[in-house]
Amino acid sequence: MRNDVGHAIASRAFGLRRVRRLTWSIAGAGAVGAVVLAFGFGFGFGSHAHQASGPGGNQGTSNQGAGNQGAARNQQGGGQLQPPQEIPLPAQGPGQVVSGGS
Amino acid sequence: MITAPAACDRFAVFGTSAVLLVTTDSVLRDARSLVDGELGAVDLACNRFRPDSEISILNGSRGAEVKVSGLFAEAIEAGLRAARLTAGDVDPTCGAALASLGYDRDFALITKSCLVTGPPAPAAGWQRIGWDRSRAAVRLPRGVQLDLGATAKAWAADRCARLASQRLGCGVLLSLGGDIAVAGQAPAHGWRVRATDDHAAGPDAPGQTVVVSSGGLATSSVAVRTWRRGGEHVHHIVRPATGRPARSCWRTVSVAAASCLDANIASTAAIIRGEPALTWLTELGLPARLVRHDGTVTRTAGWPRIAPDAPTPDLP
Repeated sequence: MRNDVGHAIASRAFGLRRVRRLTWSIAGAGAVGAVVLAFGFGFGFGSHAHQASGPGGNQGTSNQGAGNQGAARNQQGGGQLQPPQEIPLPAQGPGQVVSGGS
Repeated sequence: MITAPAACDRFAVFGTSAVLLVTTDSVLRDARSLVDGELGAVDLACNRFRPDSEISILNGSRGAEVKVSGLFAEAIEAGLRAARLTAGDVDPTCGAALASLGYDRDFALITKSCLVTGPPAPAAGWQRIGWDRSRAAVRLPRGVQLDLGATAKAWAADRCARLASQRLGCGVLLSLGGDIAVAGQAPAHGWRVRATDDHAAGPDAPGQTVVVSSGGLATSSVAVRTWRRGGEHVHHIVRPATGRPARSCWRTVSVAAASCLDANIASTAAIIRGEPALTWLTELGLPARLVRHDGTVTRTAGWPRIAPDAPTPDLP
């Protein structure tokens, strides 16, 4: 009788350990999967830019011509149109140069 | 601060007029040489009226993939950037739309009343451009025609001004048809720019003079580059969704930005957007001067009011 009770307790403890281990495995796998998916959507899947429609798909340049590549990247990069460093100042009289439609 | 007067060179390019200003007299010829070389390369890449240009070859590729030069790749990306940042209001796939309006050759060759060449052709949509940056390869679906006219001039102005300033160590202003790029150390009083309807107008044409020291300033207007198509008066700023000239509440829009390219993207999009452009420009912090057809002027984001009477510095 005592042996049967001991065996039952040991079996219960063994079963609980298995369930606990299985629970942690599932949770761990879920967390890893979530990280992989988040990375993929945030960076990986959109970065190949085969199609021009990807957000940020044409930031930066592949300039190999004359001029400064880094500066060109700064010129064309950025997620929005960039305001000037200094706002134009008022002036009187004619201009040195004319900005108008062409 | 540089106090020496600027040296000036004026010349014709891209079917329009250009002005080159440098802060050091002695480098003007070298600056012009650099600019000429760069503009020649841009023309060979982006001129859709030139059969040997990269853009003509691409437009004739009938859906095949085309490898492009680094320079043309940058021009394409400038066009795509304009489309992305304006939600497609400035779209590089307007080539067929412009051709259907009769703008299928150098503007100087368009007769005052060209033949009707077909129904309006809405833009195919910039998302349909297959652009692989890593391989510098582009594929246009059959029937899609690229036109970089809305961005190439301003983009080229930025490149040229930056190149000349870096190579020659001086301040540079370059205007290509009124799209103005500034690089390097500006003169002590800055560069004086007259904002008006037509870049070919005189320096005291109706408008406003402002001083800029960096970045770019560009103006778009429906009052210039106009012609008649059949019995209809048309201009070159096309609404991509319809393929027809934009009917805007604005006659002319001038914008200052960190680059000439950004200024030009904004001024063109503002014409197309009409009234909502006021909120858009304000939220972006882009100083702009918007002129309605009746001459009424509205300003955004700190664009200055007309200056009170004050002594005018000597011009070069």
